[in-house]
Parts: sequence; C-alpha cells; structure tokens
Amino acid sequence: MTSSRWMVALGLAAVLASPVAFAAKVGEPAPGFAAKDTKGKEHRLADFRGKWLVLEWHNNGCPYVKKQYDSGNMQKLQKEWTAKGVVWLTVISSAPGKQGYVTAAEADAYVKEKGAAPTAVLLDPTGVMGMAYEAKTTPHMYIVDPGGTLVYNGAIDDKPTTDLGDVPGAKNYVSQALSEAMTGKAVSMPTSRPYGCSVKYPTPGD
Amino acid sequence: MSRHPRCSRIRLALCVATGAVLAAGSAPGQSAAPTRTARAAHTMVELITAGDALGRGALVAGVRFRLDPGWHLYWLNPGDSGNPPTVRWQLPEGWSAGDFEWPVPERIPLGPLVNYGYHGDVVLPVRLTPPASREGPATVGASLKWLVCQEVCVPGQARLALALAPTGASGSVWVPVADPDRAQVGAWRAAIDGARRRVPRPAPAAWRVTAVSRGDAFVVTLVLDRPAPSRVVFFPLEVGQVNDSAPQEVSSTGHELRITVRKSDLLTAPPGTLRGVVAFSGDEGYVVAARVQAPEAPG
Repeated sequence: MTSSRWMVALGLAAVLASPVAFAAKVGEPAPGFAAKDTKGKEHRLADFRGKWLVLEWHNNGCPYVKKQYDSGNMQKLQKEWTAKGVVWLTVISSAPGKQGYVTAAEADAYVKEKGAAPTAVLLDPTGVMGMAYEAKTTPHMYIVDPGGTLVYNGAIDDKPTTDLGDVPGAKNYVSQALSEAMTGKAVSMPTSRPYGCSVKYPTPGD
Repeated sequence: MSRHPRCSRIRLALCVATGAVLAAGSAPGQSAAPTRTARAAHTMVELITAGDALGRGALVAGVRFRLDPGWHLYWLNPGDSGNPPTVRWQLPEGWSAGDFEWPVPERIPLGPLVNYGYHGDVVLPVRLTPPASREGPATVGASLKWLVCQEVCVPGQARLALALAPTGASGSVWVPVADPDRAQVGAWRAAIDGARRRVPRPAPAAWRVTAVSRGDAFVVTLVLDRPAPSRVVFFPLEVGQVNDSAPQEVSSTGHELRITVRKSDLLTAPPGTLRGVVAFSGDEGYVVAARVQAPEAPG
C-alpha cells in the first residue's frame, strides 16, 4: 500500500520497465531498482543476489551528510565493509536544480576528493529508486541480505545531530547490523528513525 | 494524560527536558558573552519572559524563534526528516526549568515527504521555577541548537542569557533586569500567551478514545462531548509509528470521529499505545492516547 503522494511523485518519473514495490519493510524482499552508476553502467537489485548490500542515500550539501564525510566516518565504514565483501552503493536522488544533485563527473570528483570507497555511486535524479525505498533523509541507510531480504532500514547511528563531535561516541547501526547479520545472528536493531535532511525529490509542478 | 509528552516515553534524541545533558559539540567562533537575542541560521532567536508569577513561584518564559520567510522549524516529532530544537539550561543554584511546551504544529509537505513544524514567529513556552529564597538578580542561560529548512537545511546554535530580578511585595514576580518597568514584558507576555493557547490540552475526561490495528493502518475512534468536526489532523507524538506522508482519512458522524492513519514501515512490532495530538485547528489540539487493540474477530 502506498500513499497517494508517493503515487503522484512517481507519476512524474520515467515509465519503468518493471513494477516497483513501494514498501521497504524489514523482513520482506527489498524493493527492486534499476539505476545507472557514474560510469553509465546500470545496476539492478537482482545483480547483487548472493552478496550483502548497503544502500546509502546521499546529498553532499546536507549538514548531516557532511558530518559523516568531514569526520571521515562514512569513508571508514565503506572501506571496512567493502573489504569484507559487502557491496556499498551510494545513491543520489536529488532532482536537477536541488541540493545534492550532481553530474556523474562531479560525483566521481567528490568520491576522489573525500577518499570515499563505495562500490559505485548510483544517480537517481528522477527519484524513482528513492521513492521505491521511500528514502526520507540523507543519510538513510538500508541493508539487504544475500537472499534479497531487507534486514535494516533507518538511521546511520544514534546521534541525530549535525555535530562532528557526536561521531566518535555514536553507536553505528549499520556496522552493528552487518556484524550481527553476517555472523548469522538476529539484527538487534532492524529499524530506527532515519535522520537528516529531506531527500530532494522533484516537487510536483517543477 | 499529562499535558506534555514525558521524556521517558520518547527517544532521548527528542527529549528537551531540563537536566537532560545533550551532547553538544564545541562551537567554533561563538562569542564569549551570551546575549538575550541572537541571529543565526535564518532565525532571530531570543529568551523572553511573561513576567507573571505563577503558582508556587514559577514564572513562564519562552524561547522565541522568528524565522525568515519560507523557512520552517520542527515540532517535537519532526516527521519524515529534520530535528526539533533542543535547549540546555544554565541555571543559578536552586532554579529548575520544565520541558518546552509545543504549540499545535503545521503539516509541511516537501514533495512526497511530510514534516511537522512551524513557520514565522514561533514561541516555545517553558516554565522556570526559582528557589524559595528568591535571591536576585539571577541570570538564566540557554544553549540552543535548532534546525531550519527551506529547500535546504541549516543548523543553528546560540547561547542566550536573561537576567531577572525579583519584585513585588512577596518578591515572587521576576522581571528582566533590563526592563524593570515591564514595558517590553507586556509584548512578550502576549507572544507567550498566544503560544500557550495553542499548546494541546489533555483530551477531556468525557471523551472515549480507542485505537485498533487494522492491516497496515491504525483506526482511532473518538466519541466526543460535542459534534465531531470534519477537518481534523492527527499528529503522532511518537516517531516511527505512523506513516507521516500518507494521507489521513477522517470521518465524522454526530459525536463520533474516526481517523485512519497508515502505519510506519519502521514498525517491527505492534505498539502498545498510540499517542498523538488531535488538532481541530491551529489553535485547538488535544493530546490523546489509546492502547492499540487487535481488530475484533469477524462474527
């Protein structure tokens, strides 16, 4: 089930080849997606069957995202988990003209400048992938297990502030969930309220 | 039902109670001496007081945010994104401060998302209680952090202070040291009173409020002591229970009001109690709470 507002927003987006599931509920199959990375290669959810997958919603101008990147925390997470075989996708759903919207070249330059290490950066300027996951904030984090089931949906950590000083002491929900799930344990905190700036979807009438 | 949400029921991140020490990063470039007013992040922020004596010697103060046009501040439950303002008080010996009181918010759509918050001139009243000794003058300090958003979001912070002195025959009326004739306080009192009128009240005891879990929705039924209005908004007091962006269905028949709200995708277990503000208008809101029941068996 979905709200009419999501339907209106989706109606403005490109026609999809396959139906999109709207709910991103932990314990259920993760919503499908098809989005191109900064090299022009298309990635679909099904491509990652058999791997752990992290989705990181991103907007380089948002103070909550800056907190994670200026502190080096997001880069550290990306390196740590991709080294363990996790696929890490940074997703940018900002509409053209809105904060966080970048061209492929700009996104690559940012990754290089920040020393980030995602597996790929997906460009989602129509917001279709964001809306499939009902991504609300930047950052908003999701974890999908190798069977395609969503096991985490929520905040990156337990300190919903813009203060860099809050990064070292924060409990990182993504690391916690991955550590648990990848060793066969139940995820102790499968959802949390995502915090950050709103994802800059296209506004009806734009 | 208490008048304000209790901190213990709401995640610490939203708690704005006195004494809740919130981790505050150091702020580079902060001025040394706090002032009563400050400007930051598209906001004029100030500490004001109504100057009246309340029961047990308490006085009503407030933090006033005057936002640039188009920018919004967040409610206690910010909705899909954002964070409410927080305060850490620096109080003289023996003083205490209550929680912020939150006027009925607006529902603010941002594309497919919905926030709860305020535009324009916003006062969050707060009750300050001086010690019985009533020694003055006393300087009340407030370290504020807040977030305002328009298309983009900007965090703000300020350190404010207000010097107060006890006056009146019993020394129970505290007035600003800088405004002993209370010329300014009159205007501040009007602003604080206006905000307090808009703070939701507990639902009248005569109302019957029930909540049922039905599929992917909660159905809240209220039997009122008056004809049910047709335009009503339900503002959830707990984050992560209700889908903030989904439209709400409202039906009213006689004295009965029925509100259907979609459950949040983040709900992993049924909540015991659904708490929220039922707003008839921007001025008239009621705090309701109901234990969530499973739907009745078909029969």
